[in-house]
Amino acid sequence: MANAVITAKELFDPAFLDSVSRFRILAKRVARGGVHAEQRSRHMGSGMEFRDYRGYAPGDDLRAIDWNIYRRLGRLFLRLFEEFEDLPVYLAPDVSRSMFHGNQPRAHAGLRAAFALAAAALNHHDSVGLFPFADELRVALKPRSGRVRMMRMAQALAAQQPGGTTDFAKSLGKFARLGMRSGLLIVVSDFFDPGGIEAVRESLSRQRHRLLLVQLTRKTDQFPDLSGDLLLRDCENGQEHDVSVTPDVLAAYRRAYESFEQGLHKLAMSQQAGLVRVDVDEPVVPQLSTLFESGAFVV
Amino acid sequence: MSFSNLPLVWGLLGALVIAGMLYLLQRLRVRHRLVEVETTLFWQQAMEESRARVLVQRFRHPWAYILILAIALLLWLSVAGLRGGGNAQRDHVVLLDGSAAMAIGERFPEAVSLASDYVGALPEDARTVVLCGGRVRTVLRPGEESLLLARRLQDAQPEASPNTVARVLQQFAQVRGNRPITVCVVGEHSLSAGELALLPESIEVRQLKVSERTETNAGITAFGVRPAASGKWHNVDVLLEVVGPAIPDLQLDGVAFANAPEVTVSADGSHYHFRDVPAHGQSLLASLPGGDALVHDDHAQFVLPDRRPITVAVQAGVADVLRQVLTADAGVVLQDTVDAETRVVIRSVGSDFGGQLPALELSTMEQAEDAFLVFHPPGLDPDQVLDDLYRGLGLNEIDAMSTSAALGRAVTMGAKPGTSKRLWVWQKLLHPDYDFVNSRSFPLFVGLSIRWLAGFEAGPDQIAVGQPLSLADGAVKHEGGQSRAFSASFVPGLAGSYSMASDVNASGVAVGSKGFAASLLDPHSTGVIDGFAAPLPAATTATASGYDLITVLLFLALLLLGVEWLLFRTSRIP
Repeated sequence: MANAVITAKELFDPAFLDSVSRFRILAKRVARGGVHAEQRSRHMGSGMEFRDYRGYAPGDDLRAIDWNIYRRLGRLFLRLFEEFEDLPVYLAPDVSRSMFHGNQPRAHAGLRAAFALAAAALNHHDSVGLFPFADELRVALKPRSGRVRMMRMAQALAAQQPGGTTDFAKSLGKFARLGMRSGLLIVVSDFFDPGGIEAVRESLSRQRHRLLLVQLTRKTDQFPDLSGDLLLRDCENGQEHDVSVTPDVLAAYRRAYESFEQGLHKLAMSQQAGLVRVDVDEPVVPQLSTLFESGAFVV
Repeated sequence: MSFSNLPLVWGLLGALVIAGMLYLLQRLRVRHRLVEVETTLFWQQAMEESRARVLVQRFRHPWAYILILAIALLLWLSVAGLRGGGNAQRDHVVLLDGSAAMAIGERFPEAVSLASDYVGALPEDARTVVLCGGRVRTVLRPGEESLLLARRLQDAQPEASPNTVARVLQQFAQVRGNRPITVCVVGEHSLSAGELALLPESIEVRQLKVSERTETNAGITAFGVRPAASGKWHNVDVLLEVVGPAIPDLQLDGVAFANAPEVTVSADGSHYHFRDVPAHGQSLLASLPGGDALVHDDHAQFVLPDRRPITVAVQAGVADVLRQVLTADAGVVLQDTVDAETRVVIRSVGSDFGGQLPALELSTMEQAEDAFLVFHPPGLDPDQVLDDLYRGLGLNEIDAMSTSAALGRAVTMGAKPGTSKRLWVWQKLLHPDYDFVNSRSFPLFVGLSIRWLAGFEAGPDQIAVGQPLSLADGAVKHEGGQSRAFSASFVPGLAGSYSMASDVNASGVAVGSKGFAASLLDPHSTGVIDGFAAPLPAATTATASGYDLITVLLFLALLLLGVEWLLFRTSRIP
């Protein structure tokens, strides 16, 4: 594939998979409606692990009545048990042109990060769906669980092609309208939306899902190695801008970038979302490890 | 402020054009290097953008514009030859005193050094340097490099002449009209307060003084001759004035006197009177022992008149009255035949006695219209000849009225060109019946006529450098090699011997066949006279010069280029 930045074989590397095997995404409670898995569900049903009692109501399953309590107290109580279901994980890798720009495109690290998180979910029987986006959002893989999907996930990620411009509002707005079961939305992106951090905030605030934002960065984002009179062309929309790079301009640029970073951080805080910054020029797994320092990434 | 290379208007126009062009260039879009980036999101917020594909952009980087404009204007002004100072429109004339007085001690090298420093600060195209010695030479003309001055003055020395600064200054005043001139006299001058006051207001005279004279000096301040008081025709008395404790020594043609002449010395030892020095046209040299401050006044030279007797051949039968008068003349030797020594003949008109020798010829009243008819060499103005010889022959002493009345014919004088010098006189005038031969003027006429015909005239008593000498038109050649033509009046500029480059004509005042010698004879140079020169304001480089800014401008431009390079390297300017 001409524009492939990484192959399925590179992703489905045993060493890589082994390095992410200790990652675990743990949900406090998952929405009911999933398949049986390892995450605690809000639904209390016929599991093996006792959780609580409650008074009998007509229509309740008579098999759940604790007759010992009835014998002592003369009242009917039902025994309640934990229900374990899967956490739906929705991977939304950014496949806009900016992700595929340059000799060391961000997509390389971004797709590895996405696959690492997908593997972490699939290892624990959570369902993982793939929704790559740029100016549009596509459903590449519907959420399914099972380790057997790991290879397919790798192939789907490796098959990603550069899309158009980044449009969070349109693409993630579409995702919100899909009505997916509440789960974890993992957005892997540089977040360089032409609409700025406001557009990102607008689109993410509509999501009913918990959020994990994986920001793909590199050092030159904050400290660009440019100087002189330049005609800067945006690789996504082709817009050109004359810039005379002077110390004053560079300082203003850094202020703008830092404002963007702060905006993204505030967004994560306000949405109670996870935020991890991945330097695309450094190994991905160690940087993702910070999410799992306490043993699991709890959402 | 002015420009030396361009008119002021062109200089200012050029500066405006440069400023305008730089302004337009500043506004032209910069051809940027194309760089594709992942996003321009943050650049848009940071950069000063310009609209794409427009000819001009908004004016950016004003400080960069000011810097490059300053550099360009500095370079332009240096090309235009910007010059500041209030004297920019003035001409500057430096008169370097090269007279004899500057030869004392190290005064002349000091003056050269002062002049060089002064000239170096003057605008190149408005300064002239003139060396005022016996010969006045322009040693640096406007536009010439100042370095040439040192080379041209390398071998220059003060000359044996009086101070000529005043004369040169007056000539400048006449030639330059009302054009403002600052004249700087380097050395001494002899301008009196009255002479200064007569200069035009446009001429400002200043002075760079050299060291005062401190060494003692002795010198000859007067040296001349006069007819011998003893009455001996062939001798002269020599008068010599010496200043200082020195005893003069005399030499004739380079040889000491065989018999020392009788000498009288004044009581103070300053005046010497040498009596009865034989005058045969020799060169008389007076010398002082020397070793004092100034050598130029230790020698004086004078060419004595040739007072050897004039051999006159008289044709037989010519009036005896002439023979009687000439016999009594100590300066004349009479003979009846013509030989090689004969210089003048006396004969009747039409006689071939003496051939082409100068002759006093007696004519009849029918042969000549005029009682006295002068035949002079061709090329002379007859009226001028008449004017000169009327007194030169003593005719002004004649009682022409009574003689005319006795003769019954007007006694007149005429002149015409001839192949040889001749003087016709009516023979009848020499008859004893007429007053002419009995008058006191007759011997004078005869003596002067013979001397004029023989080419003898009494020369000047003294010939001093710088003093005008009345000579006939012609040319002289100095012993140093310089020739100079003159008309009627000649001013010897240098001490030494002069030879006549042309024959002395009949009507001129001939100094002698050997030429003449001029001596310094300048009391001021010797140091006797001092203090008559009017004080002049001192010349200073700062006030007299229009300071040349070109070097400063180029230096500033270089400095600003360095600043720009530094700012560019540190990305403070694009």
